[in-house]
Amino acid sequence: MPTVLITGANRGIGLVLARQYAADGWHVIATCRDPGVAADLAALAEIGTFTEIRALDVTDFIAIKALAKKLEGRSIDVLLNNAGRLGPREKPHSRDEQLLGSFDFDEFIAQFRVNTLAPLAMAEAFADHVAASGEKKIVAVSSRVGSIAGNSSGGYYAYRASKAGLNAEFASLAKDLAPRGISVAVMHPGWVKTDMGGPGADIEVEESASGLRHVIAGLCPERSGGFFNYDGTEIPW
Amino acid sequence: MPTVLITDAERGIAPEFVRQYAMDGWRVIATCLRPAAAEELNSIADEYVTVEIHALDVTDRDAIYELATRLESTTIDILLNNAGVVSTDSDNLMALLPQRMCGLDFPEWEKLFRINTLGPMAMVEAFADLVAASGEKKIISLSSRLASITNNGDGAYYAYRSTNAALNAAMRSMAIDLAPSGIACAVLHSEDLDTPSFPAMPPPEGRTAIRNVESLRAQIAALVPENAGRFLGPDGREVAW
Repeated sequence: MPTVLITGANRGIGLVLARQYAADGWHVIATCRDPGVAADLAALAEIGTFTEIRALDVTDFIAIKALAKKLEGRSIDVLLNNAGRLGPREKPHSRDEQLLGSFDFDEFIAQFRVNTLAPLAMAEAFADHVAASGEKKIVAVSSRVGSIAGNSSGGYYAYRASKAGLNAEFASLAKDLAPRGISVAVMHPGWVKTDMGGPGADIEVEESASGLRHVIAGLCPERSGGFFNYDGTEIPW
Repeated sequence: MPTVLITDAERGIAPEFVRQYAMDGWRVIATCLRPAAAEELNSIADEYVTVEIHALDVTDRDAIYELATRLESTTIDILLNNAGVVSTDSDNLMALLPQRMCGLDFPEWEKLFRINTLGPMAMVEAFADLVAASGEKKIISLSSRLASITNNGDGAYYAYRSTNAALNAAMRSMAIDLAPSGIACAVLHSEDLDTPSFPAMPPPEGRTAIRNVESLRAQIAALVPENAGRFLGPDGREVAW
């Protein structure tokens, strides 16, 4: 039975990814900041699937190493960095803090920690677990908004910068982990109807999650280092 | 007399920019962290009366706004952000080694984000009005060729690559958001493309530095709103993101 570790699995795309992988018979290690209030995730663990819930704040790099140590000896086929941040916790789809002239640098740093630093901290901590697995994949949910070439509307400074930073480091990660047989990719989930995407978004969470799972299933060493839309097409940097 | 403001002007290839603009008769507002320790910059200022040096930590947003207030009666034709720091410890040569997996230093990485990415963003926010009031209306950030995700051939350098790619992403938005004010933004890098990434980290010196800065200045001079928002190298070619 393959194993997937998903960060930020308590809601949005992460929750539906966990649900779909569990339904497919995968062993799911679902992490979130506070399992005590993650009722949907708890329900998933209770219906007889192989879901284990772990408390993890992805910006706590010591906690990441501690969890990796706790899971030592277990193989992880897919490390799925899903946790992301676009706006303050109380208004997750706000972009006011990122308008030129009213930059909120505390928010910028918070996004940099979640979107850029955390995925590499996870990759560093769990590389051995992934290398010991059958599938050997490390992916991150990035965003088309992080495509510099695709930016024709401006704004979104913190989100664009932190996701472009993620894309840049995962391009390096793909090179550095190739000798260990690990494939790496960043993915665009679409504009999804979640707390972050808002109600006016394009697609339902289920469509995004199944698209992302299809992209992950098709990832191989030859496609490692790419930036893929949830429909499988490549996105320019 | 046109005015150029250059940040972190004591570091890397920036002193050569200061010298060449001064030689051409520009007023040069050069900022650096510790003016007293900036020997090369001070000797240039001794030689050219149009060069003035101001102490500025680009991670101190209040200080940036204070400087903008002090300079509010002047217009800035070119704001030149010299970002692209590879390490906060310039005496530590080990820090110049590739930032590889195993033992990644996240606090150091965050410091580089504050210097390389947020520093230029704060400068643009504070000085955009003074640039918009000038004749030339240009904002340039010096990035690194390692910021090109497309051209990442050899991996590593996580903090350096990611903070510079983040800067590129921000500058691209600046180019779009400031176009209505008539300001043209671009990202440049001063490194030679035909050298390996390490040891290309130390800035080009001597004749190479002079030639590269001459070439970059020609590109800045040719920058117009219609071709803004791009990433250019010293050979004049556009660099892929």
